[in-house]
Amino acid sequence: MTPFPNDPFVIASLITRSRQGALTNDEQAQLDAWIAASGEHHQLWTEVNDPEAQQQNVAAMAQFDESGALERFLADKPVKSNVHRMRFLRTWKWAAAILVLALGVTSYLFLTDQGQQTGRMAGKSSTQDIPPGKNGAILTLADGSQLVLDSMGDGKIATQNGTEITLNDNELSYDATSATGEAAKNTITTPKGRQYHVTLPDGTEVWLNAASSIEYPVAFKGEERRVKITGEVFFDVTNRSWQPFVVETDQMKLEVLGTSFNVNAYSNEQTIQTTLLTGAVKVTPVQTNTGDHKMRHKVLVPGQTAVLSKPDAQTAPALTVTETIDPGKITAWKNGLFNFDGVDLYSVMRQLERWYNIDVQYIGKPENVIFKGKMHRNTNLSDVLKVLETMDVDFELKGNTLIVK
Amino acid sequence: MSQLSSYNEQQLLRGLTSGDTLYYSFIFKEYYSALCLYAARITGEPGHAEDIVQDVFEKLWQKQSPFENLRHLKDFLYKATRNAALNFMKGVQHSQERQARFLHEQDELTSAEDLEIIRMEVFRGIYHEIGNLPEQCGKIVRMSYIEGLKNEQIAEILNISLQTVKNQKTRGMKLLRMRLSPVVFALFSLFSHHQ
Repeated sequence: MTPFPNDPFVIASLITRSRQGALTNDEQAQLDAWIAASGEHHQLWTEVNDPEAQQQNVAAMAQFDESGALERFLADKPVKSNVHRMRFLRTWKWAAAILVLALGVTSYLFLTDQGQQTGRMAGKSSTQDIPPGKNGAILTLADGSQLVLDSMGDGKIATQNGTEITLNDNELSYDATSATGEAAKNTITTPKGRQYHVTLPDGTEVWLNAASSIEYPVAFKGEERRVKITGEVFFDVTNRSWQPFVVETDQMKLEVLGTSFNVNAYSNEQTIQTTLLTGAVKVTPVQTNTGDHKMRHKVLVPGQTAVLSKPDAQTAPALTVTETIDPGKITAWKNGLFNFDGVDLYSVMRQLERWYNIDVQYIGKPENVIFKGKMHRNTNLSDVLKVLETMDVDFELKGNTLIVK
Repeated sequence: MSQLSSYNEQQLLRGLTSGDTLYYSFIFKEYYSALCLYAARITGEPGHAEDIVQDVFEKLWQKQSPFENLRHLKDFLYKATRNAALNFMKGVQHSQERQARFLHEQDELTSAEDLEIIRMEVFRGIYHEIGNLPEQCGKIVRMSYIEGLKNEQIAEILNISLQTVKNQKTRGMKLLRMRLSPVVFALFSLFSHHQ
């Protein structure tokens, strides 16, 4: 009888390569001997070649949040050597997304596309500091009354047509089991400097970034589940094949099939971006008065972003689909990180405005720079400004106004 | 090929002692999901698998001495995950029966522990091969395999015919069979950009 290796990694490699028809005769004999050696071996061989078992195990692996976990893992890791790293950034463009995750709060590692810049060191932040945003929101009930969710204690906070609204550890949830009559509409609004997580009546989880809102019924009835949003919202939608989930913004409509995705629809951004992580989403622009009927819907598959440009005097709106190198980066905010990667100065400033509740003013026309890296959101403004100081950014903080020159 | 991959293997192993996050990210992407499933199968509680595996990677990060080879590294990952999973179960009373069963199974020819590693390694290979399929065909295989969508649903979402879905799935499965071993493949593409 042919002797067979007993190292699990060698056996696994033999099995994998046999599936690819890449075994030598000698290896094939070893594998055959291993399979024949015991009933258990034979059983495992049958299992790993069974399409159904393969599907189940692959799907089971896919449920774990790999990119979120990698972000958390890298969040507190220092970056070793910048010179070394910059060389990688040039040669391995594709790897940049992974690399820059590592940039931490105190490491001065915001790199421009031209390379690391020493900066003019023009920053003059005054002694006062501005704390980061925190969890909190305003809940507007159907009758127009408003509750500030930051300061309320846990427990039942309201009942809307039989639906109970409960606050628990600063998270809102709905119990629609005894709902009656027409579903009342509620709205959650985050001001600047606040973010919020809420579980909708169907179990769908929603994260609101700063300066955002969502309007939804307290119980989902009828043929579809329909919500309206502004700002930036991440959705993890509960699958209900009989009741599609529809997200509306001013400019477009999203139809959803059991899915997680991020919508960035801030009115002061130039485009509306929808990034799909799992499932499928159909994006349909709302027809504006341009009378352009050529703008048809697009269907996203995981890893894609739909970019809807906003119309202005010169250009008509356009809907395009791009591949997202690292979808995890789009949802970094939800995991407590700023996404500054590949983002320009003005966009970084808009993120800071929303999170630190500050105003940014520009004097003249500051030279635009492209940022790289991520940073914890749970950090004072002064730490962010320290990083800006290392770049070619000339600024001054006066009270709540950041002046960029 | 084998010379190249073993040279690259050395680079990777050295990288893991340099504290350079690039190499850790690479190993993380290769092993995270498989180790989570491995932990979940030991504990029977998928909810804690991600915490367990996160700790394993912290341990890898803190490890000072280099690995001798890729096998040594893999062995470390699986052993550390298994130990952490068993420790987790010690803290959970109602799992004791399951733990006893798991420990008992170890006396056989290739031990149950090793059979489980073989199982995870083979499925991990398929998982990554799917991730490396070409665009349209990869999309369809992922939607059917991972999202569990039916052929009809895929056809509707992608606005293509049912027959196209079936053809692309068959093509995907054929390609999967032809692919290089994923670790070799990934190492190759990682290091071939580097002189």
